[in-house]
Amino acid sequence: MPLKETALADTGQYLTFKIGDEVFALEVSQVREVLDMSRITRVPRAPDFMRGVINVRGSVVPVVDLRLKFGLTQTENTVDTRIVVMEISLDGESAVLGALADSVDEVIELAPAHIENPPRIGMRWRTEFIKGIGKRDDKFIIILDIDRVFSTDELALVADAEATGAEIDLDAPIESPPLHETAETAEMAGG
Amino acid sequence: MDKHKMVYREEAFELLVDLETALLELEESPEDEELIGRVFRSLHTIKGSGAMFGYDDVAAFAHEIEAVFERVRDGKLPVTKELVNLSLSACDLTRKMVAEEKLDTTHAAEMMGRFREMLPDRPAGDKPEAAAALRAFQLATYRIRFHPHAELFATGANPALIVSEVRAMGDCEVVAHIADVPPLDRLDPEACYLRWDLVLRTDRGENAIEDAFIFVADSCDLDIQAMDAGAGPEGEPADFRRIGDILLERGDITPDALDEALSAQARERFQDRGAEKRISDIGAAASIRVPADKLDTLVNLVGELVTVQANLTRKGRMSDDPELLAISEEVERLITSLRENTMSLRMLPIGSTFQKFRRLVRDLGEELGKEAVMTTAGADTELDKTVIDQLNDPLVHIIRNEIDHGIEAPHVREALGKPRQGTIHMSAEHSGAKVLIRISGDGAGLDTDAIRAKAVERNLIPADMELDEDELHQLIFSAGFSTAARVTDVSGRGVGMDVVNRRIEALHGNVEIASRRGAGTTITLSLPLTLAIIDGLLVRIGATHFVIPLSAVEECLEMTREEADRCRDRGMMRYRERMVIYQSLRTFFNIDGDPPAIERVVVSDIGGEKIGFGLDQVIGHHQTVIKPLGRIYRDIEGVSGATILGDGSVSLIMDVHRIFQAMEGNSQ
Amino acid sequence: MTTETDLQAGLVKATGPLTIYEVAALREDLLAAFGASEEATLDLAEVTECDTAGAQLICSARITSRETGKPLNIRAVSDAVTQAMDSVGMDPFDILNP
Repeated sequence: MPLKETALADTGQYLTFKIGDEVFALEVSQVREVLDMSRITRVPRAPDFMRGVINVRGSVVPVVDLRLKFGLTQTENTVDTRIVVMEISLDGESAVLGALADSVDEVIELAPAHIENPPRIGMRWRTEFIKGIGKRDDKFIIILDIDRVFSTDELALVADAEATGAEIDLDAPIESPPLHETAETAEMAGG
Repeated sequence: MDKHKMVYREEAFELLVDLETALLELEESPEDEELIGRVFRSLHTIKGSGAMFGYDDVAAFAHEIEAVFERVRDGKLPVTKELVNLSLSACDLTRKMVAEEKLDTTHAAEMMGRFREMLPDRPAGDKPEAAAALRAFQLATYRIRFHPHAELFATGANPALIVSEVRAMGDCEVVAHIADVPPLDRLDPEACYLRWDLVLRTDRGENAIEDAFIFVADSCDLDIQAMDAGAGPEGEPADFRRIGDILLERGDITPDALDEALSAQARERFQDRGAEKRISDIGAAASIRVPADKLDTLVNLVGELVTVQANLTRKGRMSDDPELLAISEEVERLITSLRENTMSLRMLPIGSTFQKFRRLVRDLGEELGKEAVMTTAGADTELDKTVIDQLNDPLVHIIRNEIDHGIEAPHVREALGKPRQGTIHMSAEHSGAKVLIRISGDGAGLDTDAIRAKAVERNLIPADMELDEDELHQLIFSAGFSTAARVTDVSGRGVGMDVVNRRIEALHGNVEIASRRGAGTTITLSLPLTLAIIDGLLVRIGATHFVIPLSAVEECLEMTREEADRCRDRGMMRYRERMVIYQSLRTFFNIDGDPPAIERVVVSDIGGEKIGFGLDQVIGHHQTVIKPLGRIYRDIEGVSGATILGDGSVSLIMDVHRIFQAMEGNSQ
Repeated sequence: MTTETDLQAGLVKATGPLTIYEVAALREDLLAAFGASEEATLDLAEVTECDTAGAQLICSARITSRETGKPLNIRAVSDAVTQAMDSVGMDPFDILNP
């Protein structure tokens, strides 16, 4: 067994889940558990995509709505809705976070040969959130760079945009915004 | 790092604090023999355990200071300011040596030199100088007669530990004399009838042996004699002659006792295990050290248990099963006591924190050309370790501020008819579930004119605003406020008292200030006993539950819908014949839905300001374990944490101070 | 420390710590056992902790036995006791055995 593992060392395991029709993937090492939908306590005065907090065996875990984060409508509560509890790195510190997904599919293996860099333009999704594009059975799987999605700069950016009523149009191809500048603006507006 | 070393480090840091305290007190009463004894014992322990855990540099350095204080103890050297200064610097250096595990050689050597210079007439002494103990001793054999007085046990001493310490110094034989032990009917079981003879071969020197007995010196007769290694009749100086021969030769023991000793020796060889166990015996003290994070884990577990318990109690009350109810009540009782016990583990007296500030007061005074002393009261007041840890910075800031701006220069004080020396008094006391910490200085007090001028200049208040004295005092807690006439090294670094205010509020506490011009200033910090669990009021707004810390609740009122609407429009309500600020929490938190026919109002007191918070329902008292909300909610205003209710749902803990701040922010 | 005594048999069994805090009580029990019986038995199997005062008391019991001529059987000695004696330089064999 150890031998085999060594041989497969370069092949990563990914948890796939759907948001709308799109299939996303997360490295399983970042996933702690997958929970059924439970009662979310909303935290007032927080941006909409930060849906609130849930009780995970005595710990309070924030839940975010990836659909709202990606500019889609709010996640509907269906039988397939799941909360993917993951461990992310926020400014070098690890934090536990739950993300809503329309459904959770399976754990797959992807060899590096089947993962490509995201194209720089023409993407529906912001490229800086994407680690790579996996290909499987002729379907594309978007491998998320989840740490980037929830970096504090990003949180500040979205919070600021929502506060001023601006829409982030994620459907349109977006060139990387100069993040530091945006962050500064957010800071000034906040302070 | 090696676990034992960690323990030593922690211990050494504590000892250094003790040492500093004793030194500072000694400066004030240089004749106090008890203080000299304390200094000596602290140094001795730092040295002794330093050597044990491989901190040889620290041990050698401490030894040098100890030698000087030995002279002080013997009345041969006076306690001077110079000695205290030098010793305090030595504390700093030692702390550094322990922290960095390396020796700042030039600095240490220089300091050691200065200590040595203090020793009077070294060559004239008949005994070997203590400082000479630094160089390695030659192996020598000592005969130690240890004859305790009857009351030895009553002093709390366990001779086994002392004997073990001596054994650890080298090759050692121990003989206990039991001849004086009476039969049971004449035995006072708490008196010591035993005496010991020890023969030790070591290179540590006589002082080190004496030191082992330092804590029992007053309750025993001790005689240590070097058996001149060079003068043995057989002329074999380097050999460790058989103990029995030596003892017999000197007439110290009878042949019977020799047999006893020899059988002891023989036994020793058969019981290698014994030696190891002796070491563990030494460690079996009355208290143990536990890493703080283990305690935190325990507190968290107990916190979860409290939550589960709340659920169980609820289920128990809902069901008709009396047996279940009885069990749940029993469990509740146990958990309550478990919780109290666990919490008490984290409670520490605030005294050690106070002690740190004595040094600060002294050093700052010197730096700023002012004379100040610190007095304390209530040092044994206990509060949660987390609170104590987070109290340090605010206290430093308050004290700096008082010495820098409050206490006048000595000549000014004299001209005012005040004592040259300013006094900063720190006190702590319990008041209900709170701890009050007061810092008073008999300095100049707050200059309300200067505060007003500054506040106007900084656009904190309009120039024509009328404020009473208290309100003006309160302004120094506003962000960016500083009245320092000049920027000093001490304060005026751009952070003001607002930092203190924020820190204390983050601890669910609050700050009050009282000042009289010319007479002084008192700052009172009011803090919860513990941060892990708070007493709260469970309330509801729409479908959202909140917990308001009970410490922030002054009164609960109710008002009709029409009244509430009027208050909302005006932002004010009538409370105890006064108009006070009113804030609908439904509005503040943007919660949908219609308010009920009868609205509840929780009145809070925030730094003297009364505020009524409108909400839907007060559900009741709720003791709650505070959970962090997670980093992404760090900047959310008005919520400081979360808690889990009996039914497993999450409720938010309201932070009334931050709500108030946000309201102020909006209105400006 | 708790002691169980069977005065008829002169049996005293000490359980738990045997330190300066407990020696007075054990002394009473031992005196009673010596007084009530021709032979005393001290069971130390369950002693968890023993300090110098405890060791001294056992010593005194042995001396009492020697002076009165009434045998004292010390049986089932726990490690805590032998170690305590050993560490203060007493000879457990001499004191524990008749």
